[in-house]
Amino acid sequence: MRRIDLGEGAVAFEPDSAADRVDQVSDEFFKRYNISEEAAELYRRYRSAIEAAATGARPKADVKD
Amino acid sequence: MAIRLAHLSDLHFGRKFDFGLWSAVKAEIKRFDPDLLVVSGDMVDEPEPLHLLAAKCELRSFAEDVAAELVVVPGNHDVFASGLASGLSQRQDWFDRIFFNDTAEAERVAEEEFGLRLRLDPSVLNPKRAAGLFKKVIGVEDDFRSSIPARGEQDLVRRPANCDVLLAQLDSTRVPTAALDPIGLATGEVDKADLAALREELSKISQPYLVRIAVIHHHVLPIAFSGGRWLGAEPFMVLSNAGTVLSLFKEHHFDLVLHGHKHVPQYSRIDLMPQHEAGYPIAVLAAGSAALQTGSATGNCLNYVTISENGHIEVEACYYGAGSGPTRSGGPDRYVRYSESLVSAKRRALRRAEERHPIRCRCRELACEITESGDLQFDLTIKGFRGDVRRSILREHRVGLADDSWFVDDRLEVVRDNCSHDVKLELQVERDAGAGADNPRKGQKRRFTIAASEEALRGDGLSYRVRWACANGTNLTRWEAEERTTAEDRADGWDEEWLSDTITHPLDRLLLTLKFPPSLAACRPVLECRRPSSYPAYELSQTGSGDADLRDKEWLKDDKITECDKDQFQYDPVNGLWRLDVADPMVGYNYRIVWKTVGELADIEIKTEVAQQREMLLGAARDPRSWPQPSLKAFDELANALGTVFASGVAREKRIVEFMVYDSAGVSLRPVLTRRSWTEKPVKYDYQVPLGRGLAGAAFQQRRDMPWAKSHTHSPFIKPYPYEGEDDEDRVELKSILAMPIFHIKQASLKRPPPWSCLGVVLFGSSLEARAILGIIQKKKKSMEALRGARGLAHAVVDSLVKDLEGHPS
Repeated sequence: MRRIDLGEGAVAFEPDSAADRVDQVSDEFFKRYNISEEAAELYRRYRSAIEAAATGARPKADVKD
Repeated sequence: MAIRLAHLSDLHFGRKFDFGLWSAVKAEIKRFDPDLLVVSGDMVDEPEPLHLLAAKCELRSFAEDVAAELVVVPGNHDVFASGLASGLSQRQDWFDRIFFNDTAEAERVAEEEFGLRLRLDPSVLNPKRAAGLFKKVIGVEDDFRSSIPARGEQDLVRRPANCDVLLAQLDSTRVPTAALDPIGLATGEVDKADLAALREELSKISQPYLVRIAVIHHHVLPIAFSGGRWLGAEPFMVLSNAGTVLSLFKEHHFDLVLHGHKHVPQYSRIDLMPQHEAGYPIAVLAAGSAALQTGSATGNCLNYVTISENGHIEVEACYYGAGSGPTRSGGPDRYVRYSESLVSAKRRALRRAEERHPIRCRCRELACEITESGDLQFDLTIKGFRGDVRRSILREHRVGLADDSWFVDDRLEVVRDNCSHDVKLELQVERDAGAGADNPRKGQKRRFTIAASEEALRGDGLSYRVRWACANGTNLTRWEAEERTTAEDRADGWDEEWLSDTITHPLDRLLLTLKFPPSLAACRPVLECRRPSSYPAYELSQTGSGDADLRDKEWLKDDKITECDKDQFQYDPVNGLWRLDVADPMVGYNYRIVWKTVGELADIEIKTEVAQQREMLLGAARDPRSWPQPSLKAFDELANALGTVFASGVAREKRIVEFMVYDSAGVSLRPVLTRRSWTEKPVKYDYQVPLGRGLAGAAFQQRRDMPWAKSHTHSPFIKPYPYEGEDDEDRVELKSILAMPIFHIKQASLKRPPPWSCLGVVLFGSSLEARAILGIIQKKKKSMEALRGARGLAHAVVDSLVKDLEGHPS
């Protein structure tokens, strides 16, 4: 993430690399912080939806049945 | 409106008068549509009373026809037989008696008894033939002459009713003392008593005029290219006291001198003492003969003068003659356009301003820096402020703010090190008529005053420096400009931003600098100079400070002054700022640096989808029962996860997780879902955070993740927006906050998505200084991993809320 100095201690961050993208959160993050499986599943579905939007494929979450 | 003036001279109504040409001249002047019709002498060839009366009636009627005010001065032919003003003939007073009196009775006699048409008409040249009987005519002529009033006197100074001009009308036909010698021929002189009287009248004038014009028959400057025959050569036709007359014109700041006499057109400009404060540039314009037969196709000349609203003078000289009337076109032998330097116009404006204002300043520097979050920081330096006042004064500085901006009061300070004297600073809030209950921030202003003693204004004068700041003072994107206006508001310039400074007193140098943040680096600002619609009329401040009171004025663009000064506005690559450096700025003007907000093409499909999703989310917040159960569960998961990631782990910590959605109607963010760790009490969902304010407003505006910690972030511009709540249970002070903007799924992976794809902001707040948030501020690796994870999860949860609501319309 790129840090933008706004002066007097104020800062902001914006994505700077592919690793900063919202669809690049690793499973390790959820494990490390002991985040619930429900939350992790929400995220996985979201990531699939982003991938589907990018490729034009149907999101995995919609075809799991 | 610009002032339009037609300048004629030397009609010489008489045997060599060209009647056809005169008709063509009148037709062309009518097309020009002048405000003033100036005839600078020699209306007639011989000072016959009937000829003079005919000339008066003709010019009066013509002026009425073109709705112009008539201005005349006598020439030597109007008062001396054959124009010989050298003691060979007696000066006659018919001109004064006829032109400066009511001659209704004389007109009646001439028309009824002579049967004459009192115009520049052939019949007037031979009244005896017109009347028929010689004997009868003698008697009638006696009646006519006796019906002319005995005395007439011209006003030396005149203020036309229809335009903002001061006119001096000078009679240069007095017999020159030096020309009592017959060799003087057609020389002239302005009477010393007239000059003294004129000087006295001018010294009483305090009313501002756009320009001062002097009309005189003889030339105040030598006429080039007019050696001619011996009678027309120098020194037989000069104005014997031209230097004295010019001195008076300079002293009383006359801008334009109109004359005739030599039948040789000439436009010249004299810049008397150009580097000196007492100097003054004057334009001097000679007209040729308007309608005398010359035998040449270009032997006659008339002038048109256009005086712009800023006092700039432009002249058009039309040459015509035998077989061809005047036109405002053609080659240089037919039509010439002269435009004085705008620098001269500016210098004259400064001199006029100095007459009115008892104060002046050597240099005014206003530096403005725009931050990435649209905050404005100002630094004003005043150098050499001097005054000819007999008391202490209060210098007023007025600062106007954009509608959604706010003044950071604790940033107002006088920089003591830069003050030449001890000065006192006071701050007052001022609102103008635009403020109202519906938008209390609209039209807000601040006024601060600097008290300065009489002593401080002497010598090199007072120098001081003041800083102030206002937050959220500019739209950062075109989208913001769109959000803050309605379609009906979008007049010219609706998507422009500007920095401006108004010049309220004479000033030697204005320096404006503007520094953009990196995200606005693509902006290309331009200079715009504006003047009040009432210019040059304005009042001085009632505080007695000597400044112009320019509040609540209607401002008009002045393209000419802008053109003149635009080269002084340049980018300074060394310091990375835009700089305007103007000498002698126009007093009463507003200097404005204007730039268009940064825009980008919107994906209409996504923009529309985002607007619908925002509305759906806001609708659910208005009726919390409409939230689908999975949504509430998902948001609980998010609150728990953010608590896990960012919480300090201390039992007494109070945490809040809130999802705020942008509400276009209020240009603000509204909470739609909130979880507070210390209470189950629902928050009031009717509060809002204006775009750009608070951490959520700033994160949304910048489309960037914003961490904040009380101990680390001291910026007065980026700080929490207070939630008033109902009681102490609601009023928990947050000491660390993380605000994360949430974007449409198709734009969320971009580095900095456009504002129209931003749904809202997920905010985590803690009553303690959360270590993970401090870690983000310091860009620690582990905290950055936490930030990446949190924003990913926040996007996922908001996406699920949207999908749930789409499946369960509220």
